Amino acid sequence: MPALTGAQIPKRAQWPSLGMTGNGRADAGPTGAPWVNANGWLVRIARFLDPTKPVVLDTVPSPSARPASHVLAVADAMAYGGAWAVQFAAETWPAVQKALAFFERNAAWRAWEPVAELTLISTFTGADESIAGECLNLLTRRQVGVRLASPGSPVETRAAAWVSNTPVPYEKYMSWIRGGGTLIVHGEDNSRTEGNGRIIGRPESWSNAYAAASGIHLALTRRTDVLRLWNAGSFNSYYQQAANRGVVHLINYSTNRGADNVSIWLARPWKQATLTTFENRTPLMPRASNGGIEIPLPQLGVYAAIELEGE
Amino acid sequence: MITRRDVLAGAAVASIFQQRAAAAPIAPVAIQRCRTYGAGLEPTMRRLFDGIGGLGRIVNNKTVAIKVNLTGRPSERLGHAPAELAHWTHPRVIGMTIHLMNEAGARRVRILESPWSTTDPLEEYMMEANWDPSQLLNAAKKVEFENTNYLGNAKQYTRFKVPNGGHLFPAYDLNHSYADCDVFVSIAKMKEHATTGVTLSMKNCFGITPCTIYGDGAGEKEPSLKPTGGRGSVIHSGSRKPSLSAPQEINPDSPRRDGYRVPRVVADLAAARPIDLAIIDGVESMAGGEGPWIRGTRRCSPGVIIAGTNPVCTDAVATAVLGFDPMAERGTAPFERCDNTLALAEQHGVGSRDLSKIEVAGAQIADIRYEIRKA
Repeated sequence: MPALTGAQIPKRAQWPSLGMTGNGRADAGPTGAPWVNANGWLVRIARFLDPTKPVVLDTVPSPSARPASHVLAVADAMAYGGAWAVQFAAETWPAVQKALAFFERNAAWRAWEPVAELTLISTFTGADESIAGECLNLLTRRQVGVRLASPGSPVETRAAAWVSNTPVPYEKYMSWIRGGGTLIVHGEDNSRTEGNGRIIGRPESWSNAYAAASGIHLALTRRTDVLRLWNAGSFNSYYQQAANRGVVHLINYSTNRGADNVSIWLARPWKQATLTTFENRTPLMPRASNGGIEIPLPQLGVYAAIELEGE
Repeated sequence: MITRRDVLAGAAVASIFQQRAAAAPIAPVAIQRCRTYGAGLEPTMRRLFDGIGGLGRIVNNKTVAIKVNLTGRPSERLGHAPAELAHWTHPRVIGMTIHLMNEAGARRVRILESPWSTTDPLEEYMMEANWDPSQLLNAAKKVEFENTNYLGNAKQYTRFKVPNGGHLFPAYDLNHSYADCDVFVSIAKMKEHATTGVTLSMKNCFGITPCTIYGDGAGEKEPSLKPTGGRGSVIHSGSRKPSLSAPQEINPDSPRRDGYRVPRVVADLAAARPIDLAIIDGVESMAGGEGPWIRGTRRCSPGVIIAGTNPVCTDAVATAVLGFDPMAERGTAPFERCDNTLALAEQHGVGSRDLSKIEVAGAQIADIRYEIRKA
């Protein structure tokens, strides 16, 4: 565990959970998918802004938090390369210890690149902080793979979205666009072709982050999805790869019971897949589907990783 | 209090319904055994359409609109089964229909559905379920998609009046696509339904009502710009009205029970927007309800595909194939807690549900019966 001294401690971190309404039902967004309080986006932005300092979430469980939510707090931070300042409770300590040990064993994953067709370009600070954070949070919720980049730095994905209230410096991206890139901008109706690429103007305003994030996904189109999930409304995923290996973190924000009948599709046709939990490893049986692979998963708890190999 | 005038009026209406039912049109229905969506599907569907006189007479030189059944959210499955193996029309059945219609001279084919709570293009919705819409787009020379759960590509909704007055609403405001076609086709999934007992070609068209007007988030005076939620409050329970811009209920004091209301709306729609060709995909399906959100549902394999040019006749045959009596009254399976949609559509004069009058081509009901309650 990284020490708190010198660490980045994001102030907006929340105790990870499924959003609940007053009557005890899962709170839902406009599509009916449950709302989750997740911190992965916060960890990713903090690490992006200062990769030299560890990111530590110091959230405190509510008195009604279920024991499993302590393990969720570990997974919600560490799957994205952060850490959680553990709140010791005798009841949860053995499970928390297992989770901590798991992520330390797999510390190499922290350096792996996100699998993505989209880059969010933003300063992620000042006036951009809120919209860029919410945009990453909501795209993660839609299981969209995303990379992060500062204004002006090179884009390595097929598409990028300008997530800022400042004017777009088109000249900095024109060479990438003309080479086949797609730049998505908001609040402008200026869609046009440039060389082999495109600029797509979306009508949504940043004042409605949900609509803006949906607009980015629509402009990108689901044709570019790198991952799809079914029966996983309470899950977020984070998909990374390094050369011929990959990992998909599956984080379940519903802590009251295991999730049945979850299936996953990956656009890349990996040869081997293994389901890894804090307790054990189970070989999976991917089958070819729609150019990639689809895998039916056994019952899942708060966290599981799918380790992938070969092509 | 029911007055003598009410009793006489009721008797008069019943008499009119009986007359219309007696004169309801009849058309042959074709049934084919079909165990998989593999290579055998093409010859099977050719035989199916030959059994009702061929597709050429129906679609040649016509613009065809096809309502498919993509109910629920694309991210939801029954167990691990892809949606098309349980509660959605299979894309191979849709694609083969488009291909054969193209061969039969269809000028343009439009695929229509009102996807859950979104104005996203239908292609995006299909991709979320892991379909490849290009396979449908490439099945004929001119194929288009339209999301009909909102205004879509038109400037206004089109009003469809129920001939002779409706059971629940006198008319319905729908997306333009249901008017801008020469031929209207319903490709349904053969399933049980928690509210209407069974869901077949007519119930599939419940989904032609845009949720911007008939949905839980519909605008109060004018249609909302985007559809939100399902049709629970406006149609199922009647706890709120559709947008006031649309025709309102004939009798606001009618029962607020879904088993009364939904079958009537389905029958109204079948009369207001006639179905020219009904196709029912019963190759792979589910039992116990219409989607994974219904408790106790399970996959099943009826192994059958059915088609006809009259939706009441076709649904009557499919109801019998599922092991039920299409003449059954309310309180009898599969209509234990609802009125019989077939009877209500028959009262509108849409078609006959009397199996003794309906010619069946191909496989016979007795040979192919699949008692879905025992699946």
